[in-house]
Amino acid sequence: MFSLRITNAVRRVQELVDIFLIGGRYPGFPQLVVADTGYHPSASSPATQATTEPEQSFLESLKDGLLWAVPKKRSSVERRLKKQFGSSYMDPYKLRTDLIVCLHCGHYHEAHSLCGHCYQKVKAETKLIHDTMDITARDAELQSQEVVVVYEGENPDPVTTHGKRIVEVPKKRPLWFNSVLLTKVLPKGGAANDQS
Amino acid sequence: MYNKLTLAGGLRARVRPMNLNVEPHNLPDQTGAGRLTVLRQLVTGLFRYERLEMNESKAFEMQGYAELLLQEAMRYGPKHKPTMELMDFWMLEKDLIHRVFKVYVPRFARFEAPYTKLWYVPSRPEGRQSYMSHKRILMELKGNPYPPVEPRHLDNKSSLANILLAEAKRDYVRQKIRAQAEVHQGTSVSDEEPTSTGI
Repeated sequence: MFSLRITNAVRRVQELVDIFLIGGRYPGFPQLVVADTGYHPSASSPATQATTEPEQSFLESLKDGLLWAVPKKRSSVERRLKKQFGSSYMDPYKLRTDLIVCLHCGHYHEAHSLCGHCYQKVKAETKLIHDTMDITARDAELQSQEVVVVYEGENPDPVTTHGKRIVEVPKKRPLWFNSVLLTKVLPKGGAANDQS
Repeated sequence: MYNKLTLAGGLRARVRPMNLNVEPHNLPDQTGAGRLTVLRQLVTGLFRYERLEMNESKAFEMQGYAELLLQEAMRYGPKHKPTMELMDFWMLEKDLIHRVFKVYVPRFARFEAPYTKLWYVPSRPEGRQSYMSHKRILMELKGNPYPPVEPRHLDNKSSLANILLAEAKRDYVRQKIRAQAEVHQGTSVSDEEPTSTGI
């Protein structure tokens, strides 16, 4: 068995020598024979014709560095996939221990951050106010006024809102958006329709 | 290399002395001018919208510049030439220069520095399957008229555990009063509401 391997290896080396030194493309197959017309463009001068290369055994040719570095072992499927797609392809899911429950709405969120569900409400409301007040208008007059946001059915206090721009949002005030400036006076005896 | 954030020594806001791993936005000259443009856009956007979402590193880098602008505007006013040059550089939209001196300077006279506030927002926004690699920050100017992002005060007085605890405490106080009355007078006292109630 071992001797068979050695002979196979020797045969392969011999083929390589054929390819690189002699130039045959298909070693082992009969080569096309070209008629020698006496004209050699690479060796035109008679001096170079005279110096023919001495016959080399293949053991000698091994020392010329013809063999390149090749993988010695077959790489596993996992390793090949990692090379192809990166290590994250094979990584298992990791357990997140930094998630907590929001005490207001019960959704999960990262411990360091605001609750995403509550924040989305605030974000949408802020965008609505931005759109209502036309915030992208590049008007120095408009921009140089402090803004007071007023919802439907609210009367802004003329003292505290003096000199400020009143932006009226066409909807009821959300329950979670308390107003500091506008304190609601409940009607006496009547049913309190509490908005704030 | 680029990124030690050094600002004027008189800055009253806390600036993190951290090494920001940022790249200078692959410009051919590699001067960091592209990043400066990004910072100017962010400062302009913050002064217009008063509330802006961005990455953590940009927020930490930008906060010092926004604070410095507000502080210089409050200290020197609109008739100081170097301050106005600074404003002209940082405000890409020039109507905001009026806004700084007419809105923010009177407003922040009521506040103490820092005038900006940072909130971490979820790094997985709605409608996104995976978490982002960077932490996200919402930066806002104090005293803005928009709905607050701060979680509101949680009134947990009426939660079941607290009701039970309050009742247990009331019962304990009631027993104490009864025992004292028996010791002093030798007579039993009818059930009586204690003065201290609740948690």
